[in-house]
Amino acid sequence: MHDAAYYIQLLLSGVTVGSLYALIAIGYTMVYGILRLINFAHGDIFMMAGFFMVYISAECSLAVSIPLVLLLTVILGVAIERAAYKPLRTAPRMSVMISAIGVSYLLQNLANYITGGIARAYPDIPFFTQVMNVGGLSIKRITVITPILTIALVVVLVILIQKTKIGMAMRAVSRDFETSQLMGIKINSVISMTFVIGSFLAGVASILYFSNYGQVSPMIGAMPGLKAFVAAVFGGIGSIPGAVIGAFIIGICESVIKANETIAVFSNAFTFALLIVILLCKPNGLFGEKLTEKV
Amino acid sequence: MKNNKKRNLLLSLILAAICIAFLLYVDKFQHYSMLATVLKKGAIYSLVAVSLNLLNGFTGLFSLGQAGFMMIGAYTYSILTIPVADRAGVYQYFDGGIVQFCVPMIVGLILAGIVPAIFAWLIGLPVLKLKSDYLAIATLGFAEIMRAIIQWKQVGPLTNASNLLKKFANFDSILFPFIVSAICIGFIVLLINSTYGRAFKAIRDDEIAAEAMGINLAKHKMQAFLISSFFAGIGGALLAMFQSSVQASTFTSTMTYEILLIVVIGGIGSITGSIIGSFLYIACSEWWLRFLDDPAPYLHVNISFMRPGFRMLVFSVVIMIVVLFFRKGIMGDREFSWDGIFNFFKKLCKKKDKSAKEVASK
Amino acid sequence: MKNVLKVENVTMQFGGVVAVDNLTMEVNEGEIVALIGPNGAGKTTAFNVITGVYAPTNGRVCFNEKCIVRNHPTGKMKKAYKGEHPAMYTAQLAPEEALEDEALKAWKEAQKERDEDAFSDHVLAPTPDKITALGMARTFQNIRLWKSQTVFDNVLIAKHLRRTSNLFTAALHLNAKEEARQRAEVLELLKLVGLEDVKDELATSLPYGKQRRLEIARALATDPTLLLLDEPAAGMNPQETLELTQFIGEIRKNFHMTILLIEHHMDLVMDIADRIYVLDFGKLIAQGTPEEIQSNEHVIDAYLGVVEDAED
Repeated sequence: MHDAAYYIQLLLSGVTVGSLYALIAIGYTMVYGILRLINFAHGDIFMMAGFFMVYISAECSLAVSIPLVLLLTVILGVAIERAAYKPLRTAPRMSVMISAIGVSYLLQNLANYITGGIARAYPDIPFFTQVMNVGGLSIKRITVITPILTIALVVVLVILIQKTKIGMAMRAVSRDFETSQLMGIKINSVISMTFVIGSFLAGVASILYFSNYGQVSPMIGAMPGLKAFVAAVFGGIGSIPGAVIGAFIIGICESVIKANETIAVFSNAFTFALLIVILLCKPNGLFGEKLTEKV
Repeated sequence: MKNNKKRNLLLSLILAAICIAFLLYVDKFQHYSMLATVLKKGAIYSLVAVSLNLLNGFTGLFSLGQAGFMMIGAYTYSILTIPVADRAGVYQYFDGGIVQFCVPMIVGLILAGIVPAIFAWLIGLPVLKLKSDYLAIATLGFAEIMRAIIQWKQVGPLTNASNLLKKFANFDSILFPFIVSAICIGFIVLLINSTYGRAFKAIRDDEIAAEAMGINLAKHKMQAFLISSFFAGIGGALLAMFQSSVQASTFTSTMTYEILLIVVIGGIGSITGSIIGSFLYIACSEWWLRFLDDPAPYLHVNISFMRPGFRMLVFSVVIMIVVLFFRKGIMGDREFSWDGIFNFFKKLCKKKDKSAKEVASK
Repeated sequence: MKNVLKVENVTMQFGGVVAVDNLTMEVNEGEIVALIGPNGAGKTTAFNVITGVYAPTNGRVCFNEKCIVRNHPTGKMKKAYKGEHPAMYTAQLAPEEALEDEALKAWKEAQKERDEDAFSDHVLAPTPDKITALGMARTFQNIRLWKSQTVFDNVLIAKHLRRTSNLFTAALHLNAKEEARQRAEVLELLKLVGLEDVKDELATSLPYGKQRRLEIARALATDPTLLLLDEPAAGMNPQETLELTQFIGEIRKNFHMTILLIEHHMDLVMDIADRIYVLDFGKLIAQGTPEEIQSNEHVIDAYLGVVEDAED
């Protein structure tokens, strides 16, 4: 029916999407690991990063705007944590989650207001969008760059968490919030650092994603956000390699489903079906650790 | 004590009479006004918000599937009540669809509750075991799955895929949504004040203690989930009637968030709070704050920052303020009561007295 | 004397940690039995197994001569199992040739009478609410009252278990008679435990000692025949402990209750317990009357440390 090139293309686009989900999923999984909070606003941080790029690149050159966008995204992420999550640190988990939903709603409405609800064209980054010819396949350079960059970033992140002091502090806090506080770990700086890393990666993901996709709209962050969260659950929440593997699997499955016209409408639903199946069969995900409540 | 009871009953009756008279007035003289729209939609949202509150506020189950159950209810109702003669027109791409009968409105409405409850049972069996945030995301996912299924071309003969469903049985009087919502909310209130309602609250407060005291968690959580989805389904059917058309793409997770935020504004764990929250939210978003979207609301003075979208922005800022600084919402977990109101005024008077005295003494 | 609770060869293992190792104990009708031991000895875990919070890795719990909980290591756990007697409660309990022995045969019959599946691989692990329904109620080490409820409602909710109404009859208030009866019973109970005057206050606003009392009252409201108290005197001063000791005695008398309790306050234990079991590192190291326990060397070692250990 189809030749091998078709399947390779399918696989490649799956891997690309998967890597983007992976970059977003890390933000979810790290925040959840430490605060036990599903940061519903994370997908919208990703969206906002897209708009930052749209508006900044209109004024500055790419060399200036890319770092500026990443910086702004990080600031946004940390500001959200400070403003919306920190005051609720002792509140029940439900309140914090509602706050996260509220922030997500706020960011969407803010973007909607600024843009007037119209999708904006994303600036063209020629280096990414150039078409290469590899073995008879014509592919955009970005399809290749995305997975490589993702894996490189993940490796750096894992080293950071395993070897550095702040990484050690993060691991300690995710294991036991209260005890690490008592042991003199500066909880707030650890949490901020988590948001810095998460938002930075979301910013990178947004540049890669929107360069490929071509335009940004206010509601665009919600779906990739939720899918990335599912990837994080799939891999075992709190585990970074788990999130990455989960994201790759979801990305590939999704591109296969999208290619089949009869079931293409289920490309989003599939992710959630997968989530429900995982939660039932292996609630701690592929690499997650079991958490039990003490009686 | 007894006098109070009599007085309260009397006051309640008077209030009810005033409300009914007011509704009748609006129905008769302002049938197409903004006020009527707000009242109708407010009544519908009250029911949906209360049904969500039963789960989130009273049983402590953080569910985000409400829009999904509303959608199933709306579709059940509209599929079953489109007159046979109109089916060819509505299902124009699917040869008139496969459902070739029509049930009376009231039967359709009840089925609009039962069908979502059946789906809730199916989904509840696996997901109700999950802990709070996983439950939230699983129910959210379930709603998305249902939305995709309804829009699927292969089920088009039943659901009309992504096309509109319309021409189904509808209400005219604005009293109709009020009566249906009042009956449903009444049932929920009675339930909450019964031994089952207390058991739900025990589960919310401490699941482990509740189980140790003999409350079957799986059974009670399922009951709360079924009842909530039953009434969400009826709310969905009412919403379909209100809009006189149904389309799956409108029942997004944003709708669930909206309902959740209404519950938060009203006060998690307060029925009256949810009702007040609904009317307030609908009135603000549909009517009172409309002017924010208009660049020149008064005297043709252009206010540059007021343009479409500003209203929702202001709204979400207000919501964040409520979430962060007034975490209890309007009512907290208290309910409206005449005694409460009298006590409130008494306290207020005392305070005034006190401050007056203090001023006098100085 | 009728046997109320029998714990047989119960082992509870979390990963490589054996929290309870081959515990066997019994409680007879009308007795107050204490389970003591140093911190981390596995007392609360034993409670959690008995009340169905955890399914044991191995062993059996019988309540009123009927088996309510049973498990044995299977699959992966068979290799990882670190407790004693892994073959207990499986089909290979007794070697085939031994079946000739009349006594063993009779024993086997007796086991079967109590527990239909005594010699099969069938696992029995009901949720805690089912066990409570059979007539066993407990309190918690770290008080677990329903925070947003009043004292009265805390006890009333525990009556939910004994309802005859279903969801609809309850919602439509067709169970008014039952409701009135339950409310009267709760009031009576609150009078008996001395919490009547604070019945409309929030449970969490009570002083600590009264919260403990309320938790006991709540457990009693489920109409148990066996009451399990997990460190009822934890955090109490000597005066409060003394009052609690009397209170527990009254409960036994007034409700004809059988009581199993975990406790660290030795005065209380020695005062009211008929028999004592001592756990250390999950293992049962001694059992007997308070006098016997007081002079038991193992117990003294466990509490004070053996001389070799004490050097560091």
